[in-house]
This record gives sequence, C-alpha cells and structure tokens, in this order.
Amino acid sequence: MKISPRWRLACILAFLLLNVSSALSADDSFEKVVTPFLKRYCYACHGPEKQTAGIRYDRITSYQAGDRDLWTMVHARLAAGEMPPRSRPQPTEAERKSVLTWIEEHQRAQDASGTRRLNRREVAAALRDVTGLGIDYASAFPGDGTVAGFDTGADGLQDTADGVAQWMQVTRRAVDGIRFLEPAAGKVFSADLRSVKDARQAFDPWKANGAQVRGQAIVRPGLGMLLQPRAPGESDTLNFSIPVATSQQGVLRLTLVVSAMKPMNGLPNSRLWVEVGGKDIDYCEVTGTFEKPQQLVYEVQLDDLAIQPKGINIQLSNRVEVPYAVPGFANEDRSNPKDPPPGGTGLFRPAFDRKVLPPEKQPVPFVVLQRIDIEPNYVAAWPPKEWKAESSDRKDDAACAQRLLTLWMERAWRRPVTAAEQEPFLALYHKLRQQALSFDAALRGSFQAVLLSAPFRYLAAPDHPDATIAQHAIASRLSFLLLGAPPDDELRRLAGAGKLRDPAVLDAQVDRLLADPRRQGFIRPFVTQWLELEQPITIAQDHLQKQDFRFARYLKASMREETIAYITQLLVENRPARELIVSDWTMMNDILAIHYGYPPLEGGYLRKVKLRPDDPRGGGILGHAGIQSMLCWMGDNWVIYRGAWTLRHILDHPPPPPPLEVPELNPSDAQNKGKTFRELLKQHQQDARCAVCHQTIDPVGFAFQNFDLSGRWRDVEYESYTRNELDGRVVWVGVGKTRPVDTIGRLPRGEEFKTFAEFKQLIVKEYQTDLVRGLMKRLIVYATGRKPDVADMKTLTAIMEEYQTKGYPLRDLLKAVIRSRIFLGQ
Amino acid sequence: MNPKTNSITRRTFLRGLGGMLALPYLEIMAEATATEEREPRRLACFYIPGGINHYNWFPPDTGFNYTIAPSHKPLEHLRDEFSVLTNLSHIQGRVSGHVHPYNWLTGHNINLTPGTITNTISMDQVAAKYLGPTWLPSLVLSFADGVGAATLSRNALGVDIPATANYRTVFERLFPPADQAQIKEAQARLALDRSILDTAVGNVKDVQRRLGYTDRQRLDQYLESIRDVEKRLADREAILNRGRPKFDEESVCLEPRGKSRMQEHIELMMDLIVLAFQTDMTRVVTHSLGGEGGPNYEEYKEWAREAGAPVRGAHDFHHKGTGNRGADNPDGKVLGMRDRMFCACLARLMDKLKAIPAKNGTLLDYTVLLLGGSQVTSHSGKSFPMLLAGGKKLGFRHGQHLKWKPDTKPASDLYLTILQQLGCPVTSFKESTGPISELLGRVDEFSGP
Repeated sequence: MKISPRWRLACILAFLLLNVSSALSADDSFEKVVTPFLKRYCYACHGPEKQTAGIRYDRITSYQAGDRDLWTMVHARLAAGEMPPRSRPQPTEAERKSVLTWIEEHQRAQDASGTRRLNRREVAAALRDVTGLGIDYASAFPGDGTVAGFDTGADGLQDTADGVAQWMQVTRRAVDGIRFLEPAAGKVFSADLRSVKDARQAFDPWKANGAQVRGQAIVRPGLGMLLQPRAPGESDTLNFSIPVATSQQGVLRLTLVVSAMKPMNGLPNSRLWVEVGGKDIDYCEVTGTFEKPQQLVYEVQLDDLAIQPKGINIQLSNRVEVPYAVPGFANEDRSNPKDPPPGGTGLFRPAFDRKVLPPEKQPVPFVVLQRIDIEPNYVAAWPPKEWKAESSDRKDDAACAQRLLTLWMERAWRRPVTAAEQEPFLALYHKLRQQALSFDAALRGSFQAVLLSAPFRYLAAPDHPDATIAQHAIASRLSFLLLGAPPDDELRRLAGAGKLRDPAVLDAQVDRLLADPRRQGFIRPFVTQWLELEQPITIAQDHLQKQDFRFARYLKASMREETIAYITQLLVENRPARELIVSDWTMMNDILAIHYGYPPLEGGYLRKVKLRPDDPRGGGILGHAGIQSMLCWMGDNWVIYRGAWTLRHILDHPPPPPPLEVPELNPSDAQNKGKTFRELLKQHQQDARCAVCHQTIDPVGFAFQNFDLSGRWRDVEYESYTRNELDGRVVWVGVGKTRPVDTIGRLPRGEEFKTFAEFKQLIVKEYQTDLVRGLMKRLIVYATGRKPDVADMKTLTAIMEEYQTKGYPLRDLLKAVIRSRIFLGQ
Repeated sequence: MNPKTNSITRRTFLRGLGGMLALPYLEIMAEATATEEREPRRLACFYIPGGINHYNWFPPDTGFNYTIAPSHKPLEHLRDEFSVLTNLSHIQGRVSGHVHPYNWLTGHNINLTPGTITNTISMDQVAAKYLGPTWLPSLVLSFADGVGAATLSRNALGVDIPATANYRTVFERLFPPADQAQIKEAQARLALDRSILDTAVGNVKDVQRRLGYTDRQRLDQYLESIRDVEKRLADREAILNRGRPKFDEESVCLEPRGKSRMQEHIELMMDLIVLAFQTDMTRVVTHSLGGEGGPNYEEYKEWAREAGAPVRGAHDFHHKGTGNRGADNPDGKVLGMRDRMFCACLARLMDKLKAIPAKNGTLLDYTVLLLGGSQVTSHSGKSFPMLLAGGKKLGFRHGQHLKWKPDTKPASDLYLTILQQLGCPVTSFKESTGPISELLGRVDEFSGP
C-alpha cells in the first residue's frame, strides 16, 4: 500500500511518455542533426567516459519535455561560442546553426504550458480573499519545493497524499469559518478600559464568565490599562485565559485598541507582542496616540493551538527592543570602555528606582490598552461587508443558494463561471440538502468542493484558448506577481473588459500596484528568495554585555529589512540597476543607526538616509550588514560563502555545488591554526577537484573581508578567531596579533581589485549586463513559474538592449517583461 | 468527527494502584491480529527531564556481561530485554540542556529566541506515518497539557503536536465513540468528505481534458493524491465501523489517588498506553515524564528527606544545588532516586506487555520502548543517556551496554535503527550515518519486515 501509489504514478507517467515519444517517433531529426554533432564535439567531456559538470549527452535520444532547461543552457553556450571550449575542435557555423534551430523548433513545439498550482503563500492569500477572514491558513500547509530557489516554480509545486489531506482539512476550516443564514453565536468578552476606575473591577464581568486575568494591570483612569516594562529590554505581560473546551475548533477573534505613551523625549517605540494559545500572532510597533489609537484585529484558528484545561491563553507583552540613552540616568552598560563597538555608540540601560518614580516619569515607553474584545467562537457573516454584494432577501431557498454559490465560485476561480461549470457544485448542494443538512451546512460542503476544484488550485495559462479565461489568467498572473494575492476589483474589471493585453493599461497597472503597500506581497518573497535572505543572521557577541543579546532579535530583523526596503525603494523610484551596487543612500531605522554608528533615529520604520561620504561601506546591497552577516552563519569559511553567493546572485556566474567527496576546509584544525585565510585557500586549491571552482570563488570572496561576523566594517583582522555558538548566540573573540584586512581579489573575467570600493566600481563597469541578466532571469522564473527558454532569452536580450542606454531602470525593466510574450504568452 | 467528551455517561471509580496490574485479555485483539498479515509494530518514547544522575546510571563496564547500574536495578529481571546506550549526541553537543524536550526526538539545532523556535519532524512522527492506519495516528502524553517543552512530538513541518496530561481526555480520544449518535455523526462527516471529493474530482477531470501535455501531468498528480486521500477515508471508516473495542471500561482507572504523585501519574499513563496498544487504537506514543523546572511532585520531598537534601523545587534539584558536585551530592542522590523510579515504572510496563501474548511471542517483542533524556553533568547535547527495550521479534539484540567515544555517534543513528526495525521505509534520519549494527540480531532471529 505504501509503494503502490508511486508505482501507479510511475506507470501513468511511463504510459504518457510512451504516447508522446511514439507521436514524435516519426521525427528522426535528432539522429540526423544532433547526435553526430554531440558525438563529434561534446562526448569527450560529457559522454560515457567523463561527465564534466555532471552532464552526459550519449543517453539522450530525442527531445523530452523534462530536458527543456538543459537545451536552453546548451543553446546559450553554443550561441555564445563558450562551448565547445576554444582548446577543442570547433564546429562550423552551419553545424552550429542547425543544432540551434533544432533546439528552438522543438522547444516551441512542446513548451506550451503555464498552468501551475498556487503555492503555500498564494493559497493562504486566496483563502483569506474568498472568506474575508484574516487567518494565516498557510501555517497548516507543508512547504513547497522550489525552482531556482523560487516557490512559484511549476515543477516545484508537487502534490502528495499528505499535502492533499492537509488541503482538505484547511479548506474545511475555511468554509467552517463563515455563515449565511445562521445567526451570530457565541459569547463576547469585551472591556472598555478607558472608563474603568479600579483595575480590580475592570474584568469582573469576564471573571463571572470563567475568564482569568493575570498581570500587573495598572489602570490610569481615563487613559486605559498600562503595559509597562520595568526596564528597556524587559517586558510587561498581560495574560487572559478565556474558557473554551479543549476540543473546540473554529475561529477566535481578538480586537485590541492600543496607543503608545512616552513619558519623555528620546525614547524608542514599544512593540506589542501578541500570542494566542502559545503561538505568535503579531509583533508590531505601537505608535498610535490617545486620540488616534491603533485598532488591531486578529482572527486565529483554534485547531492548531494549545488549549489548556482553563481555556485558551492570550498574552499581550510590551517590549522595548532598542537600547537608548536617557539624560539624567546612569549608563549601566558595563562593557569594557577600551573596546567600544564599531561606530562608537554605547548601550544604555538607565538605572532608576521604580518605587520612587510614578509611571509617567519612568524612562520607559509603554503601551496603553484602551479596549479589548475577544470572541472565542467567531463565525463571520459571508459575503464580507466590503464586497458590497447584495444581502437582502436572504432566505432558505435554491435561488439564494445559487446566488451565493455564484459569488463564491467567481471569487474563488478568479473569473466568470458558466452555468455548466456551476452545475456539479449546485448538484452537490441539493444532494446534501436531501441528506437533511441545513442550508448553511450544505452550502459549506459545496463551497469546499469549489476550493478543491482545479480552477481554484491552479493558475491558468495566459494563452488559454478561451479569450475570457485568458484575460482573467493575465489578471491573476499579474496580481499574484505584484501583490502575492488574487486580483482586486480593478484588475477583475479590466480583465472583464478584455483590456489586459494593452501595453499602456499594463504599465498603468504596474505603477498602481507598486504604489500600493500590498506590493510587499511581491517584493518581500521575491527579494528573500532571490538573495537567499532566509539564512540566519549572526550577531557576534564580542565586546558587549548581555544587553547586546537581548536587543539582537530586533536588530537581526531590521538588518534583513534594510535590504528589502532598499530594493523596494529602487523599484518604486525606478532607479537604475547600478544602484543595486553603488549609491549614496540606504534605508535605516533606530537600531540600524546604532549598529552602523549613525546619529540616532526615532522609530522602527525604515527610511531613506543619506550616507556619510566617509562611510567605507558606501551604498548598495553588498554593504548591507544583514547580507554579509548571514553569509557567515555556516562557519569560518565566509570568504568562500560570500564569494559563491556573489557569483550566484550578483554576477550570474553560478559555481556548481561542491563535489561530495571533498573534505571541508576547517580553519580551526590544529595544523591550520595561525595561517591566514589566503594561505588556507591556496592549500585548498592545491586539490585539483577544488581548484576548478575555488579559483573563481575565493578571489571574489576576499572583497568582503572588511565585514565582520555581524556585518560591521572593520579595518584590522586578528590572526585567528575563536568562535563559540550556543542556542544561536555567538561569541567571537579575536586572538593574537592584528593586521590590516586583506581584500585583494579578482573577478571571474580576470579584473583585479584591491579594495571593496574598487570591487563595486568594477561590477558597475564590467558586470552590469550580467547583474541585470541574472536579475531578469530570476524575475521570469518568479513571474511565470518556469525558467526562461530559448525564445524567452531572445526576448530578454531585446529588452535589455532597449534599456541599456537608460542604465536599466528597474521598474521599466519589470514593465517590459510584463508587456512581453514571456509574461503574456503567444 | 471530533469525539465529544461525555464524562457523565461513563462511570469510573477510584481504584488502588494494586488493582491495576492485569487488564483482562481482549478478545477483540485476537480477532484483529488474526486477520492481519503481521503483528502490528509499536513504539513508545519516554523522556527524562532535567538530567539524570550519571553516577547511578552509567554501568561501569560495557558488553553483554556488564554490571547493572544502581538506577537500573528495578529492571534487573528483564536484563535480556533491554540495552543501555551511552554517549549518543545531537549536533556534536552544540546546544544547551534546556532545549532538550524540544530536540530530544528531532535532533534539530533549535534556537531558543522567543518567537523564532524552529524545529523538524520528530522520530515518533516518522514512525506514525508508516505504522498505521489506526484510530489515532499517535498519542502524545506529558506531565502538563500543551506545546513547547511539554510535548516531545513535532509534525512533518516541525510544528509542535499538543500533548495531554489528562487521563480522561486520553481515554475519551483513544476509542471511537461509544454513542451511536456520535458514530453516525462521524460516518456522516466521512460521507460528506467523499461527496465533496467526488465533485472536485469531476471538475478536475473536466479541466484536465482541455489542457496540454505537461499541465495534464500536474493535474494527474493531484488526482492521484486525491485517490490516496479517499483510501484513507475508507480506512478510517473501516475502523469506525469495527466500533469501539469491548472491554471492561469500568475497570480503567482514570482518577489518581494522590494529588501530585509523579509515579502514580506515570503508571496511570502507562496503563493507558498498554490499553491503547492492546486494543490497537494507536501504535505510537510519546510521553514526557516531567518538566525541566517542575512540577514539584510530592516524591521530591520524600527523596530529599531520605537523601538528606534540603527540600526545594524540581528545577533546583536538577541543578544539584551548589558546592560538592560528586557522587555524594544530596541533590544528585535525589535525582538518582527519581531515575530509579522511572526505571521501576518502565519495568512495570515491560512486565505488563510481556504478559500479553502476540504472534509467536508477547506484545513486548513487537514494541520498541525508549527511555532517555539529557544528562546532568554537562547538561548539553553531547550525551543523551538512552535505554532501549523490547522489540526482540523486530530484530533487536538486547542485554548489552554500548558505549561510544563522546561526540562521535549521533543519536539519529539509533532513531534510524528503530525506524528501520519498525519497518518504516526510511534510509536516513536527521544526522544519521547508518543503523547501529551492534543492536541488531542475526537475520534468522527476526521475522522480517
């Protein structure tokens, strides 16, 4: 039973493959054109004897859909004259041409697919959209496979029985969260804390209903309840236990009205950490004022949470995550003053006696809870109010059921629905009614079937033969690209009017969506996956006391944000591609200003900051602390990791993965102690298996030697470092003599540099085309779900030529790809 | 579908510990196994919190003729049924002791910064994936309800599976509902799921017909997966239709006599485990025997009095107080007494399983029991003391003390060995390098997967 599904699948695949190959068997062009060419020019290195780079051609006998990307690569190398290598016999121009044409023709004939499943992120957005509930459905889904690192790749979006069983469970939760005719049910716990005089009485009605409240619970009449940490870096917590049965499922809705209060100037903002049933729900900066408070609404699915016998636990904590100084209070940082952190900014922990000072005078910011509502058994009325869909004459009849079903299907399928398409789902509703299910229950069953259907799960291809479906497919593709969510009203309207192949309309939509804050649904996942930002960031604890560790979590998050915010800014302002590498600005918030040693900034949001002219990092993502730090987490060989990362993501020169049998370079080995990294790498390169790649990787990696483990600038390095790690906390101490940092290196085509600044200038001068091509190739994978084929690469080359003189403005490039046949299909 | 709690209909009564020793042999069990091709394989993992007393735990010598350690005395009569494994590690010990409930069974290098705990699947859940189908895929027990440090099990995504410490909740969840109305409700839900899937499959096939070759393949994979899900629904329905196993429900003790007795809690849970295995309602169990910092069970006071240690909280005992760190440390002695109690509980469980006949042997021969935790000296991931018991018919060779050089043998190797002997088609687990051959008997001794 365990193996048979696989076998069945294998049989089906084999059967399908047989069908295809027999259909193509009349085509003997492979033996006539390609085999002789491969035999003469390629087998020597990629044949039965040798498989350089793991490629072997002698077993290929025809064009197979699965080899698509291999042929794209062969085409590129052949066309550029990179293969066969110059030292080998070269084919004639005619021979070369005939193979190139063969690849182009066969790819075009077999490559008409663009349908793919929604990934975990997208399906969560689609479920939120169709139900109107703000639940994080993705948390219950398994992660997806990737193509070239991206979760949108069609080949990565596989299905397994476990995944589909989970899909059933999640879609059931989604439909169980909404109601149609049923009245709102369930208890509501609510408290307006502004009007309460005595903290002990504030929650009396709750307690009468079985709820429990724990915490300091200081009430300021007229203001609200204070969440007041004792000191920076500490937190104050308010706990609620709301009685629900341990077996309860469904949705809990939590509504908070909060504002911030800062007794004195110069204090950072608090962050409110919301935890429900042991799960982190939110971690947001509180900036609202008493008059204009923030309203926070959370809907959480109870099924996955820990429910205690007393009920579900809701925890609100106020945290201050930025070290700061307060005039008039002593600095409690006991770090060695001779060993200041780079940038010269100390950490302050004001000493004070909280017994003496009333809350208004405490040098800590606090969060004021003005109002709290908890609905432990929330079922949302559907359709959501914002849709402004009809809700009059709602009654228990077939017509009403059909109206609601149409509304649901068109939203879920992201396109109009025909009566024939609707029929089976309506039939299911009627069948369930006959089985004595209620109106709501039967409709939920039918709705769930819609969520399991193909048009919800799969994105249609924009070259779908049905013009209406094709237009809406473009709307979906555009919207899942730029918002990470289903199309909004305007995109649906434009698709309905058939306007989404008009270049001007598309350009206007790109401008509109990139101006919308929802653009983070595009930029965040794209940049994170492009630059592999998921890797842990290392904060070395080398000269600071424990404060460093306490604030580090927020620093790490901010370091990652810097890169995302920087690229967001480049896109929104349509900056030229060179600014990815060189600029005079970056994005900073309060803690990054401290980390980089800049004048203090207020608030956790990132804003554009002009760099000091003497800042040796300069602008551009390569100087971002987050990037340089994350490339150190795997160990001491960061020259290699940083070099390889740069080749992969910046220079479009990906090195192959290291061969398995090669031992790792270990600088902490007894015989390696005290040697410089350059010496060690020379030693490593003596192994011929390593030299092939390391001769390219290592010289690039030396460009970043000015960045320490935490991504801060350094001018000297120690003879060696001892590095200890426990629970993600890194202690990193330089040992021995110091020496100036060694940053001499070489780019893949042989250009030499001596400093980080020279390195960046060389990239801008000599490798800008590589940088842009690499970025665009990744954008194409992300947007279409497939690696670019030969025809896509041709279109891309044309686009790049068009924008070369303008310096490759990034938003224009994005628009050009969206307007092209790469994105819109034939 | 969710079996609702209905504690009034099912009367239970208080019962002394002594009355629990033998459960009536279950007829239904015999029927179930007769129809099945092979005896079901089972796994139960028990975690010792707060570090063990290593002076009393590690036998001084290795091999088959090793001297039994003081903590293992209660297991002496079962000497041939278990082995002691020393110096198994996770991630070369690069993780501190406080996170061990999180990674004991996962081997993951987890980060304890609040809000950023990441983890991976635990060994028991890999087993649960392959050992079924049963009414419950696995049973996750603990000293306290909840997730985090209370549970040992993490699902395929590394998400905590909530544990339960309540005997009644365990009992209610363990069996299909007794109530006809509830069975009907569960059956109706299964029927509804089927209808929903049918409608969806119809649509997918419709859409598929209009697609090109590559796209058709993608939808094929989806259809294939749906077929597997339908098969699971059928399995569940079959179990539901077989109904609740018949046994003397009144005889099951669900109320502890003492309020805060550690041994009683563990024994009551172990009785439920025996019941679960015997009725074949689940084949995989994890049980965290206590927390790193409490609960402060009554026994600690008694042990402290006996050892001459000051009476204090469990966490403080785990830290062994201050000063003398040798074998005479009174706090350490308290831990030793506690470890001995754990072994006594395990011995009692093994005796019970041994008394239940199974195909060509006893239930113990088909059940793998793992008792382990972190150790108190370094309190790091360098050495997880482990005691492996049972499963002789699954190919285990017991009665030995195996010891490796520190930091050389990943605990994942043991987990891989266990999974493979349970018949799970896995070739690796986390850091595993290969199965531990020393633990395995000759091929002809074991019935084969």
